[in-house]
Amino acid sequence: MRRMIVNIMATMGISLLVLSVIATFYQARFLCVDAVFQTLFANILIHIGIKWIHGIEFRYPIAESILSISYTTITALVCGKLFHWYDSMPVEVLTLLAVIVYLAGCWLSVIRFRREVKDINVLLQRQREQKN
Amino acid sequence: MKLRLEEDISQKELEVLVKYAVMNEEVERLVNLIRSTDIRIKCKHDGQEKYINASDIYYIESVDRKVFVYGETEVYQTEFRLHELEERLRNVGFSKISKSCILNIHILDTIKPLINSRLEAVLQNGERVFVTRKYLKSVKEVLQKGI
Repeated sequence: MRRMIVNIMATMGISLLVLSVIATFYQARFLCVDAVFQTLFANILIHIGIKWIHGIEFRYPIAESILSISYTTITALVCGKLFHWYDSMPVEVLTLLAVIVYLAGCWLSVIRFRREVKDINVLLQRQREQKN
Repeated sequence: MKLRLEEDISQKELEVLVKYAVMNEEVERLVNLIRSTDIRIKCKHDGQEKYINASDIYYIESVDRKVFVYGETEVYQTEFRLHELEERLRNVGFSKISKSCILNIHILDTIKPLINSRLEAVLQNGERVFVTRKYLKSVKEVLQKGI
Protein backbone atom coordinates (compact mmCIF):
# COMPACT_ATOMS: atom_id res chain seq x y z
CA MET A 1 0.00 0.00 0.00
CA ARG A 2 2.83 2.36 0.98
CA ARG A 3 4.60 1.63 -2.28
CA MET A 4 1.41 2.31 -4.23
CA ILE A 5 0.99 5.71 -2.55
CA VAL A 6 4.63 6.57 -3.36
CA ASN A 7 4.07 5.47 -6.98
CA ILE A 8 0.88 7.55 -7.26
CA MET A 9 2.69 10.60 -5.91
CA ALA A 10 5.65 10.03 -8.27
CA THR A 11 3.50 9.73 -11.41
CA MET A 12 1.31 12.62 -10.23
CA GLY A 13 4.44 14.78 -9.98
CA ILE A 14 5.48 13.74 -13.48
CA SER A 15 1.92 14.36 -14.79
CA LEU A 16 1.88 17.89 -13.35
CA LEU A 17 5.34 18.62 -14.70
CA VAL A 18 4.44 17.42 -18.22
CA LEU A 19 1.11 19.27 -17.96
CA SER A 20 2.96 22.47 -17.01
CA VAL A 21 5.33 22.09 -19.99
CA ILE A 22 2.37 21.56 -22.35
CA ALA A 23 0.47 24.45 -20.77
CA THR A 24 3.48 26.72 -21.35
CA PHE A 25 3.20 25.98 -25.09
CA TYR A 26 -0.40 27.20 -24.93
CA GLN A 27 0.77 30.43 -23.19
CA ALA A 28 -0.93 29.44 -19.93
CA ARG A 29 0.23 31.25 -16.79
CA PHE A 30 -0.96 28.90 -14.02
CA LEU A 31 -2.51 25.50 -13.21
CA CYS A 32 -5.90 25.47 -11.45
CA VAL A 33 -6.17 23.78 -8.04
CA ASP A 34 -9.02 21.66 -9.53
CA ALA A 35 -6.60 20.28 -12.12
CA VAL A 36 -4.26 19.08 -9.35
CA PHE A 37 -7.00 17.05 -7.64
CA GLN A 38 -8.37 15.80 -10.95
CA THR A 39 -4.86 14.63 -11.89
CA LEU A 40 -4.59 12.86 -8.54
CA PHE A 41 -7.93 11.11 -9.15
CA ALA A 42 -6.84 10.00 -12.66
CA ASN A 43 -3.52 8.72 -11.28
CA ILE A 44 -5.26 6.72 -8.53
CA LEU A 45 -7.54 5.09 -11.12
CA ILE A 46 -4.59 4.29 -13.38
CA HIS A 47 -2.51 2.76 -10.58
CA ILE A 48 -5.38 0.56 -9.35
CA GLY A 49 -5.90 -0.73 -12.91
CA ILE A 50 -2.18 -1.24 -13.55
CA LYS A 51 -1.83 -3.17 -10.28
CA TRP A 52 -4.66 -5.43 -11.40
CA ILE A 53 -3.06 -5.91 -14.84
CA HIS A 54 0.32 -6.76 -13.28
CA GLY A 55 -1.42 -9.46 -11.22
CA ILE A 56 -2.27 -11.31 -14.43
CA GLU A 57 0.53 -13.47 -15.84
CA PHE A 58 0.61 -13.01 -19.57
CA ARG A 59 2.22 -15.57 -21.85
CA TYR A 60 3.70 -12.72 -23.91
CA PRO A 61 5.15 -9.67 -22.10
CA ILE A 62 4.12 -7.42 -25.00
CA ALA A 63 0.44 -8.20 -24.21
CA GLU A 64 0.93 -6.79 -20.69
CA SER A 65 2.57 -3.62 -22.07
CA ILE A 66 -0.16 -3.10 -24.71
CA LEU A 67 -2.94 -3.61 -22.14
CA SER A 68 -1.25 -1.28 -19.60
CA ILE A 69 -0.64 1.54 -22.07
CA SER A 70 -4.16 1.21 -23.53
CA TYR A 71 -5.73 1.26 -20.08
CA THR A 72 -3.66 4.33 -19.08
CA THR A 73 -4.61 6.23 -22.23
CA ILE A 74 -8.31 5.30 -22.08
CA THR A 75 -8.52 6.29 -18.39
CA ALA A 76 -6.84 9.64 -19.16
CA LEU A 77 -9.26 10.24 -22.05
CA VAL A 78 -12.32 9.33 -19.95
CA CYS A 79 -11.10 11.65 -17.16
CA GLY A 80 -10.55 14.32 -19.82
CA LYS A 81 -14.19 14.03 -20.86
CA LEU A 82 -15.39 13.91 -17.24
CA PHE A 83 -13.40 16.94 -16.11
CA HIS A 84 -13.75 18.96 -19.37
CA TRP A 85 -9.99 18.94 -20.04
CA TYR A 86 -10.73 19.13 -23.78
CA ASP A 87 -11.89 22.76 -23.34
CA SER A 88 -8.23 23.71 -22.93
CA MET A 89 -6.35 20.82 -24.52
CA PRO A 90 -6.84 18.79 -27.74
CA VAL A 91 -7.38 15.04 -27.43
CA GLU A 92 -4.05 14.24 -29.18
CA VAL A 93 -2.13 16.28 -26.61
CA LEU A 94 -3.87 14.47 -23.74
CA THR A 95 -3.04 11.12 -25.37
CA LEU A 96 0.59 12.19 -25.72
CA LEU A 97 0.64 13.28 -22.06
CA ALA A 98 -0.75 9.89 -20.95
CA VAL A 99 1.89 8.03 -23.00
CA ILE A 100 4.74 10.21 -21.65
CA VAL A 101 3.59 9.69 -18.05
CA TYR A 102 3.18 5.94 -18.64
CA LEU A 103 6.71 5.63 -20.07
CA ALA A 104 8.17 7.69 -17.21
CA GLY A 105 6.34 5.44 -14.72
CA CYS A 106 7.76 2.35 -16.47
CA TRP A 107 11.25 3.78 -16.27
CA LEU A 108 10.88 4.41 -12.52
CA SER A 109 9.53 0.91 -12.03
CA VAL A 110 12.46 -0.63 -13.95
CA ILE A 111 14.92 1.31 -11.76
CA ARG A 112 13.20 0.05 -8.62
CA PHE A 113 13.02 -3.61 -9.54
CA ARG A 114 16.62 -3.58 -10.82
CA ARG A 115 17.59 -2.36 -7.36
CA GLU A 116 15.65 -5.26 -5.80
CA VAL A 117 17.41 -7.70 -8.13
CA LYS A 118 20.74 -6.22 -7.06
CA ASP A 119 19.82 -6.70 -3.37
CA ILE A 120 18.85 -10.33 -4.02
CA ASN A 121 22.12 -11.02 -5.83
CA VAL A 122 24.07 -9.46 -2.94
CA LEU A 123 22.23 -11.76 -0.50
CA LEU A 124 22.99 -14.78 -2.72
CA GLN A 125 26.65 -13.76 -2.91
CA ARG A 126 26.79 -13.40 0.88
CA GLN A 127 25.29 -16.88 1.31
CA ARG A 128 27.86 -18.36 -1.06
CA GLU A 129 30.67 -16.69 0.90
CA GLN A 130 29.30 -18.08 4.18
CA LYS A 131 29.14 -21.59 2.70
CA ASN A 132 32.76 -21.37 1.57
CA MET B 1 32.08 -24.83 12.03
CA LYS B 2 33.24 -28.23 13.26
CA LEU B 3 31.77 -31.33 11.64
CA ARG B 4 31.89 -34.55 13.63
CA LEU B 5 30.68 -37.82 12.17
CA GLU B 6 30.16 -40.79 14.45
CA GLU B 7 29.55 -44.34 13.33
CA ASP B 8 27.42 -46.40 15.71
CA ILE B 9 26.04 -49.74 14.51
CA SER B 10 23.44 -49.81 17.31
CA GLN B 11 21.90 -46.59 15.99
CA LYS B 12 18.51 -47.35 14.41
CA GLU B 13 17.75 -43.95 12.98
CA LEU B 14 20.00 -41.24 11.57
CA GLU B 15 20.48 -38.60 14.26
CA VAL B 16 21.79 -35.09 13.78
CA LEU B 17 22.81 -32.96 16.74
CA VAL B 18 23.56 -29.29 16.22
CA LYS B 19 25.39 -27.60 19.08
CA TYR B 20 25.31 -23.83 19.14
CA ALA B 21 25.92 -20.95 21.53
CA VAL B 22 23.37 -18.57 20.02
CA MET B 23 20.50 -19.31 17.67
CA ASN B 24 21.38 -17.11 14.71
CA GLU B 25 20.77 -17.00 10.95
CA GLU B 26 23.51 -19.51 10.22
CA VAL B 27 22.13 -22.06 12.69
CA GLU B 28 18.58 -21.56 11.44
CA ARG B 29 19.69 -22.08 7.85
CA LEU B 30 21.56 -25.23 8.78
CA VAL B 31 18.56 -26.62 10.67
CA ASN B 32 16.23 -25.87 7.77
CA LEU B 33 18.66 -27.46 5.34
CA ILE B 34 18.75 -30.63 7.45
CA ARG B 35 14.97 -30.62 7.73
CA SER B 36 14.66 -30.24 3.97
CA THR B 37 16.51 -33.55 3.48
CA ASP B 38 13.84 -35.19 5.62
CA ILE B 39 10.93 -33.93 3.53
CA ARG B 40 10.29 -36.29 0.68
CA ILE B 41 7.86 -35.83 -2.17
CA LYS B 42 6.15 -38.80 -3.78
CA CYS B 43 6.76 -38.66 -7.54
CA LYS B 44 6.55 -40.87 -10.59
CA HIS B 45 9.37 -41.51 -13.05
CA ASP B 46 9.05 -43.94 -15.98
CA GLY B 47 5.93 -45.41 -14.38
CA GLN B 48 7.72 -46.10 -11.11
CA GLU B 49 7.04 -44.42 -7.77
CA LYS B 50 9.94 -42.56 -6.22
CA TYR B 51 10.42 -40.36 -3.17
CA ILE B 52 12.50 -37.27 -3.86
CA ASN B 53 14.20 -35.33 -1.08
CA ALA B 54 13.27 -31.65 -0.99
CA SER B 55 16.95 -30.72 -1.04
CA ASP B 56 17.35 -32.55 -4.37
CA ILE B 57 14.54 -30.57 -6.00
CA TYR B 58 15.57 -27.60 -8.15
CA TYR B 59 12.11 -26.33 -9.01
CA ILE B 60 8.51 -27.45 -9.36
CA GLU B 61 6.38 -26.37 -12.28
CA SER B 62 2.73 -26.76 -13.14
CA VAL B 63 2.01 -27.25 -16.85
CA ASP B 64 -1.54 -27.91 -18.12
CA ARG B 65 -2.71 -28.99 -14.65
CA LYS B 66 0.15 -31.48 -14.35
CA VAL B 67 2.86 -30.85 -11.76
CA PHE B 68 6.47 -31.64 -12.63
CA VAL B 69 9.37 -31.83 -10.19
CA TYR B 70 12.77 -30.91 -11.64
CA GLY B 71 16.01 -32.24 -10.20
CA GLU B 72 19.50 -31.47 -11.44
CA THR B 73 18.98 -33.55 -14.58
CA GLU B 74 15.79 -35.54 -14.06
CA VAL B 75 12.11 -34.61 -14.33
CA TYR B 76 9.44 -36.34 -12.27
CA GLN B 77 5.67 -36.01 -12.18
CA THR B 78 3.74 -35.73 -8.95
CA GLU B 79 0.09 -35.92 -8.06
CA PHE B 80 0.35 -33.13 -5.50
CA ARG B 81 -1.09 -29.74 -6.45
CA LEU B 82 1.32 -26.82 -6.72
CA HIS B 83 -0.25 -24.96 -3.77
CA GLU B 84 0.05 -28.08 -1.57
CA LEU B 85 3.76 -28.32 -2.34
CA GLU B 86 4.20 -24.59 -1.80
CA GLU B 87 2.69 -24.96 1.67
CA ARG B 88 4.81 -28.01 2.48
CA LEU B 89 8.10 -26.59 1.26
CA ARG B 90 7.68 -23.00 2.45
CA ASN B 91 9.90 -23.42 5.53
CA VAL B 92 12.73 -25.23 3.81
CA GLY B 93 13.83 -22.53 1.36
CA PHE B 94 11.30 -22.78 -1.44
CA SER B 95 9.61 -19.70 -2.83
CA LYS B 96 7.01 -19.11 -5.51
CA ILE B 97 8.59 -17.26 -8.47
CA SER B 98 5.60 -17.23 -10.82
CA LYS B 99 2.01 -18.40 -10.89
CA SER B 100 3.15 -21.84 -12.05
CA CYS B 101 6.59 -22.31 -10.50
CA ILE B 102 8.18 -22.84 -7.06
CA LEU B 103 11.96 -22.54 -6.80
CA ASN B 104 14.46 -23.98 -4.33
CA ILE B 105 16.32 -20.84 -3.27
CA HIS B 106 19.35 -22.92 -2.19
CA ILE B 107 20.17 -23.71 -5.81
CA LEU B 108 19.56 -20.19 -7.09
CA ASP B 109 22.76 -18.78 -8.55
CA THR B 110 21.68 -15.32 -9.66
CA ILE B 111 18.72 -13.29 -10.94
CA LYS B 112 19.03 -11.32 -14.16
CA PRO B 113 16.67 -8.60 -15.38
CA LEU B 114 15.67 -8.98 -19.04
CA ILE B 115 15.00 -6.15 -21.51
CA ASN B 116 11.23 -6.75 -21.57
CA SER B 117 11.01 -5.99 -17.82
CA ARG B 118 10.89 -9.70 -17.03
CA LEU B 119 13.35 -11.52 -14.83
CA GLU B 120 15.30 -14.70 -15.21
CA ALA B 121 16.62 -16.94 -12.44
CA VAL B 122 19.85 -18.75 -13.28
CA LEU B 123 20.18 -22.01 -11.36
CA GLN B 124 23.37 -23.74 -10.27
CA ASN B 125 23.07 -26.26 -13.12
CA GLY B 126 22.86 -23.38 -15.62
CA GLU B 127 19.14 -23.81 -16.22
CA ARG B 128 17.07 -20.63 -16.51
CA VAL B 129 13.50 -20.06 -15.31
CA PHE B 130 11.30 -16.98 -15.53
CA VAL B 131 10.55 -14.95 -12.41
CA THR B 132 7.53 -12.68 -12.18
CA ARG B 133 8.14 -9.22 -10.66
CA LYS B 134 5.25 -9.83 -8.26
CA TYR B 135 7.17 -12.65 -6.50
CA LEU B 136 10.53 -10.86 -6.29
CA LYS B 137 9.71 -9.66 -2.79
CA SER B 138 9.00 -13.16 -1.48
CA VAL B 139 12.32 -14.43 -2.93
CA LYS B 140 14.09 -11.62 -1.08
CA GLU B 141 12.22 -12.42 2.14
CA VAL B 142 13.24 -16.11 1.99
CA LEU B 143 16.88 -15.08 1.48
CA GLN B 144 16.72 -12.52 4.30
CA LYS B 145 15.24 -15.07 6.69
CA GLY B 146 18.22 -17.25 5.85
CA ILE B 147 16.05 -20.33 5.34
